[in-house]
Amino acid sequence: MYTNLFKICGYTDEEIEKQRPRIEKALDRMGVLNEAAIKHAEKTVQSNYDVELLSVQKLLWVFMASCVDAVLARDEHDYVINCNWPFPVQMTLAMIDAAKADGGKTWVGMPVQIFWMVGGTVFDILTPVLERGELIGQPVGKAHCSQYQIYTGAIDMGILPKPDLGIGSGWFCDQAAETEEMMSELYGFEIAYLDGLNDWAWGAWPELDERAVRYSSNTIRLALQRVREICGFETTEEQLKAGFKYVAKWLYGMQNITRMIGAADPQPISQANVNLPYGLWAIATAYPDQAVDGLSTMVREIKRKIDAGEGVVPKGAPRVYLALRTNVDTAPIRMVEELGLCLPTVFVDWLCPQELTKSTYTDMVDRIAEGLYRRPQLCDAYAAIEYWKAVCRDFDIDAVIMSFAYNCRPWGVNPIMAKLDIQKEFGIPAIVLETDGYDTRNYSAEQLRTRLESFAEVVKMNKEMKAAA
Amino acid sequence: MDAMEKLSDHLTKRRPELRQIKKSGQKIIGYTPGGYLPAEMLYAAGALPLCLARGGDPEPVAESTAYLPRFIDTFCRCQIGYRVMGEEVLYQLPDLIVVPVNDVNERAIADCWNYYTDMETFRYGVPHNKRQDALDYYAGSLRLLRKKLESFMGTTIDDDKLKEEIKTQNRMRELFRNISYLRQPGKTPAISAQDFIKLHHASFYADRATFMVILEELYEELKQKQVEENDKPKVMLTASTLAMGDYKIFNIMDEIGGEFIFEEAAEGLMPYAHDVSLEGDPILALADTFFMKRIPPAWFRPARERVDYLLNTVKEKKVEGLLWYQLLYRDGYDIQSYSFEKELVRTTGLPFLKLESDYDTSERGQFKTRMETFVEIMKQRRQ
Repeated sequence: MYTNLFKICGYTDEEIEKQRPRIEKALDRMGVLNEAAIKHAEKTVQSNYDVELLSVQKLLWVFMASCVDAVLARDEHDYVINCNWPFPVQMTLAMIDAAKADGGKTWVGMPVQIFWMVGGTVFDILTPVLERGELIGQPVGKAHCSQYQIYTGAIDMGILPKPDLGIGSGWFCDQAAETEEMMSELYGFEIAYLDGLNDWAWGAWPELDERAVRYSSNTIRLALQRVREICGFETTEEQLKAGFKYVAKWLYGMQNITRMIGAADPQPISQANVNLPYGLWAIATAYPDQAVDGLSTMVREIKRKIDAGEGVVPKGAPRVYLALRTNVDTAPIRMVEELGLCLPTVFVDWLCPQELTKSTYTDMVDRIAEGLYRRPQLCDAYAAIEYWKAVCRDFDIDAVIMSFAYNCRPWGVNPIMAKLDIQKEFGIPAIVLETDGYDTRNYSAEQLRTRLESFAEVVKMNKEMKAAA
Repeated sequence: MDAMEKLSDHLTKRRPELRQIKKSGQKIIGYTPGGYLPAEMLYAAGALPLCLARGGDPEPVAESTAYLPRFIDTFCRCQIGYRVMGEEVLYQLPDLIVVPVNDVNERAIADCWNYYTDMETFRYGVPHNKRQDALDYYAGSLRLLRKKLESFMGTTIDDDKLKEEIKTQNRMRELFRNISYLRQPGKTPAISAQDFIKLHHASFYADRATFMVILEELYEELKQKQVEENDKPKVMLTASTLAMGDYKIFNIMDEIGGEFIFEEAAEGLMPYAHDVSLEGDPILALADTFFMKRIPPAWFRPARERVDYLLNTVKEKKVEGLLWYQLLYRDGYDIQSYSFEKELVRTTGLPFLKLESDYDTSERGQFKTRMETFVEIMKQRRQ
């Protein structure tokens, strides 16, 4: 029943056979172990990604394998540690390594991020999970984070196991920590918070606030200590270094992809496919070798397409920046490309020069905290605006779509300001669009199309007029 | 003229007076009303503190949509509205705005001041827990504030000067406590909750010396006051923000025959529960009172301290119900109310009512209906 789906997602017949009991148990728990759900998944995954790309298959494999592991974590391990977005990947990778070295009695991972990726872009089963989350302290219409509605819903429905320890993210937004706090009360598990302060002086970025880095790194240390106390294993400096190495490798690959797509004309592959490597940049996996293999394959496939002059939008198409990835649904990206607009880069895929500054910290944990705060979108509005302006300059952008997530307070304020700044400084068309990263019900595809169609016309006309002038 | 009338008279004249004070060259420093800024530091620097706590009006909320997305907390959203509409004098006066950043909604206030106005803004972080490192961070924030104030004002805030100001503010806190303690558990209060909250709001912009005299007089008056006991159901109020001008729920409560007898809010009240110690380093003493001893807002984690405080207070104050008032899109309050309601009902059996406001006039009818039912439930529980 599900063989074809798993083969689309890069599994071999032998792997499917070997994993069959685990796959069936996981699918059953997700409520998709039936013909109709599998057929729907085959259609969904193919509409989201270009599955004929080998890299897409390989990266989908990593997500599918990680999802099965996450769903079965409680069945297969004594302890379960959940790390939740926004979260330092190096730290999770290091804990995954440490748990493996300890004999595997503990499962460490980022289950909700894995689940919304697979539940959204493969199985399209997130709506009932969101609806369950809405019944648990995050009512509909109150702009609660849909990612955390999914987390609550998935645990309440028994899809994801209750952890022994959640390492919560409280350094960037409040909603994540607030929801985890409620969940810990309701389900009786412990939370260790990574805390932080959003108190950069306006205009200070990329100068780092030493106090904030030290404070946040201390919360990371406390969380690692709690893991040791609960599960009995130590996360070593070497494992943290290995985490950094993996992330560096990944950044290099992602920047290659971003640069190649950004410089190519026509745009060689749909940005929808880049959803996968972007996801694995921010989501730790227990399959790093397979992930890197998928990433390298994507780099090679993009190069081949560029060499062959293949593209998904017309040559010379206006170059548009899209400010948000709708992680669980690539339709908005596809829509922009179908309207004949080129997407040289999307969301925060590109690393601006200020992010690539060499670290002055020697301690690995300090460097994790520093890495978080180097990212402009994770600091204040000033830093975010500077990033977007740098994208416009560096990628020779003709127009911007400042899409933002309905319900994401830290990211909701900046696009309105950025629109004004970009229009003023670059004189290019800009539109602000309210969408969502994890809940497709929060935007209407048709409504988006109507707005984007007229915007695309303006952008094309603007480009033609500039060329004529 | 009684003390409240004197206060009203003073406040009527205060806005034009503040304009004159600013014209005379006195620097005015505005700050947000989350309770994490010790006003004594501003006084010690020679500045005139002005807490920007206005809310409750629909127009600034509508105005703010040009600057902010709609899903930021209503109070935080409307702050930029008050500034750009230009009608509220208080929002035109500050030379510097200080924003202690405690959650993302508050950060939005600072971002808006920075981006949309020419006002200088100084922000500092308030951590979300009470561990030692968090206390150190907050104390560090106050030290940064001291430096900023010194450079901005061209003065020095030495410890003696700061302690003098702490002493004065301690007296104000003591007066607030004395007045609050006149409200006996389960009894008709000597001062209504609305008047008590208006005292807090007055403290945000009144002339301090005048205000202290009025507070002293008021306390004496209230001590003498013969309070006639009524049978109105007694309610505790907990709120995300009790803004200056947002008195809708108090007016409705008066109309429908219930009575608030105690209140707690994350924003909009002057922290008065604890004095600041005059021993040792004054910055550490301020951090101890304003950070460690303070009841944390709902966005703190872990949340237990606040939950336990509310559960204990409803028993201590002998109230018959708890009204949870939050502003639209204040995520922390919305989420916490879910598990808190269950725990309140389980442990005390008290009725719970959650109201959520977007400062919209159309809310009044719905609020009234729900509050009437709430009061009715409390009355029936007596039988």
